[in-house]
Amino acid sequence: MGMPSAVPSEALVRSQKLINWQRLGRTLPGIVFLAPAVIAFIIFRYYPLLKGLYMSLFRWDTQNPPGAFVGLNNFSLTLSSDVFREVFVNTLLLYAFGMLLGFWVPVVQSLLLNELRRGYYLFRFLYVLPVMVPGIAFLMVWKYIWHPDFGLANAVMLILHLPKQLWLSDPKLVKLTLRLPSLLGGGMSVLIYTAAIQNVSLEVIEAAIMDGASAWQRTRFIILPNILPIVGILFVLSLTGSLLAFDDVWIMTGGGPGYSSTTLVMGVYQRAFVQNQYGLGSAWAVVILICTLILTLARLWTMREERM
Amino acid sequence: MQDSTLLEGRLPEPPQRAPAVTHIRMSWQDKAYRAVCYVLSILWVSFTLFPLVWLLSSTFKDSVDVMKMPPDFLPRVPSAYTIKLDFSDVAASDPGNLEQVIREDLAIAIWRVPDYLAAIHYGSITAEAYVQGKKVAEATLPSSQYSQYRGRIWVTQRLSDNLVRRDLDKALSTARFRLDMSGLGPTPAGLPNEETARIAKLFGTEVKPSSTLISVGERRYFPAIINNFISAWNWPSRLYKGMTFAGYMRNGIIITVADILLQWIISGLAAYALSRILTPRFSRIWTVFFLITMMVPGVATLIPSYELVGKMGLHDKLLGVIIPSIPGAFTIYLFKGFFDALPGEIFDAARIDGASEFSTFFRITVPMSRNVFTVIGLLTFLGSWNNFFWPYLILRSPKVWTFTIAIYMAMGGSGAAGAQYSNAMACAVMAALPTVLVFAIFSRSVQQGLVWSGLKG
Repeated sequence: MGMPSAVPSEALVRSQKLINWQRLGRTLPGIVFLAPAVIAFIIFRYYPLLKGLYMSLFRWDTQNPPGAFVGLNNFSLTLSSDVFREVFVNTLLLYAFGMLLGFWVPVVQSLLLNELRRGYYLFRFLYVLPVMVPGIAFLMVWKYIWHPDFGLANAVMLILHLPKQLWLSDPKLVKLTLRLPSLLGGGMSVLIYTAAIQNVSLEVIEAAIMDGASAWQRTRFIILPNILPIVGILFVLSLTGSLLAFDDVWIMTGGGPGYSSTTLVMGVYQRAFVQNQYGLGSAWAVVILICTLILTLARLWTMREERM
Repeated sequence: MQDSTLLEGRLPEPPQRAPAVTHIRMSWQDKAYRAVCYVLSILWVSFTLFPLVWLLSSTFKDSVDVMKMPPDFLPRVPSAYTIKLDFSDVAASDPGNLEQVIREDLAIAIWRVPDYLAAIHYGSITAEAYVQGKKVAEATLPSSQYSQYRGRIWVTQRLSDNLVRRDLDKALSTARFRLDMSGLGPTPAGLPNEETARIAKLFGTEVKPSSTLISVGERRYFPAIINNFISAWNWPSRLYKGMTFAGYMRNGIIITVADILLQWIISGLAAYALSRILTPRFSRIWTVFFLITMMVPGVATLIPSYELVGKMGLHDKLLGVIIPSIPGAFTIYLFKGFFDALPGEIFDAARIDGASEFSTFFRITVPMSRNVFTVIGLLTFLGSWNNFFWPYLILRSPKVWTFTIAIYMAMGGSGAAGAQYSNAMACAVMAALPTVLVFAIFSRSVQQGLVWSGLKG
């Protein structure tokens, strides 16, 4: 039309300039505030991630990087190796044992806790106390308990007139032994579940009481169904970390005996820092990354569904 | 639920109890049910705490009792033994050499007896020298000194009198030794009792001093119960001269404090920029840039990070642990959630007043967000203080270990052999004290923080 839109008026130019100045005055601190974090993320998150992908394509030579390009050979080596398969199964079994033995425990503990009139806060504090003790202290005392010669576990077996076990040194028993302590429960989950239980509406419970529901019925038919969503969330969250077991197993057994308790992350550690095969180790790491990403995306997807 | 409160920036309240339903009389079934709940809870709590109790109990056992089968539930009260030796014959036949013989015999008595009777439960051993009824010298060796120096002075399986004579000065320098040839003491008395007969039996058969044994005495000596802590405190000096366990605690504290400060400052500033400075479009882009890294497990960046830290020359340095832990996506997320919910008018007012973004951050935002700073500090504390894998990878020489690595090494690494359980467990108890203290002080914030982080994954 007849509007001189191509030639902006002088006032408009001036106001735009003004805005730009203002913008700069606000952008500059923004850049300064953001820069350290951005740089740190690039150096210690993005760069190593890409470098790892890159390394997995080479028979990496630490003296003379990058060494010979081998394409996807590291991956085919990894996926076809018996060790990888055994280690993968180990990791899944450790996760499965941990979940079977330990996942339901804090739920039950919190439900029991909820019925207590006196000592509720004390008991909850005591359940959470183990979180505060450095993990290494716990692992050490468990290693001591499982010791075949002078450990408490075999002393108990003795009292029960059962045969002595090698526990952590027994390739068949080691994975179960590692996860048996999860039966004791406690920890952070108790805190989360008790918080969830307290969010259950009091009116519903009172109505149930009016209708003559017993304490057990209230727990079973009102409180439990109400906290199930949180139980589900914690379960899905645990899946994401299912392939990442390392610290505790490493401290307790070092992956042994043989490969019987070696986990995937430990496999990466061994490839890279024991056998000095950085390329192969990176390929292992990339496989773990891909599996974990799939689990994480699945988790985000299911959680989004739930919210809608 | 938790997510929405967080996005609105409110801190979720720590779990508080709903008021109990008290205005209705309980049926007997309900009472029975409650009783069952009490019983089960008490049982389960004791099971949960059992490893801790066992840890504490084992810490006070000596290196022999810790390997007893079946184990005692409670540690025993340690004993102090006194071995009295008579040097009258030596004084008569070889007066010129008396002092030297006394030194030798006392060293032999205090070192060889515990060495030979490895199965004896002792807190300290004292050897006393008498000449014609007069006490002229005494040497005392607490068990903590014994376990600390035994392997350093002599690396043999079993000691002999001659070995002790050869390293006499070292043997006596680790013990409390007094020699005083003047004055008269009471005539020593006492016969070897049942408990100490074994020690008496050693003299003349396995242990052959030049003097003659008068008596062996035993008494309960409670203070020696902390001997494990003393030897645990000192054991790092075997690996690095002059190092004590305090050095490892200090390394841990340096890393933890640095981590907390860096998270507060770097993540705090970044989150503030995302929340209050950037335009919504840029904020969204950069938020994704930060948060997407939460999906990447640490193992995926392990090898290149290790190489990178090496290239920076930070292997074996505390900085090599501190710097790579700067990027904290989760803390940025928590900070941003909180800053987003602060009332915007305050910031507008500050801007109109001409306050710079820096002063807005430090003078307005920080004081208003004390709560979230505390929670993030505590979460970082728990993470850094207990961190094992990365420090273990980076900090290889004994000088720079943190206490987690030190405990792991005291345990003999991954193997079961060579484990010094009593040392390692005493170290673990000492390392647990700061965390328990922090938990006791900040109980509310810690519980808040744990509920938060637990639901975020």
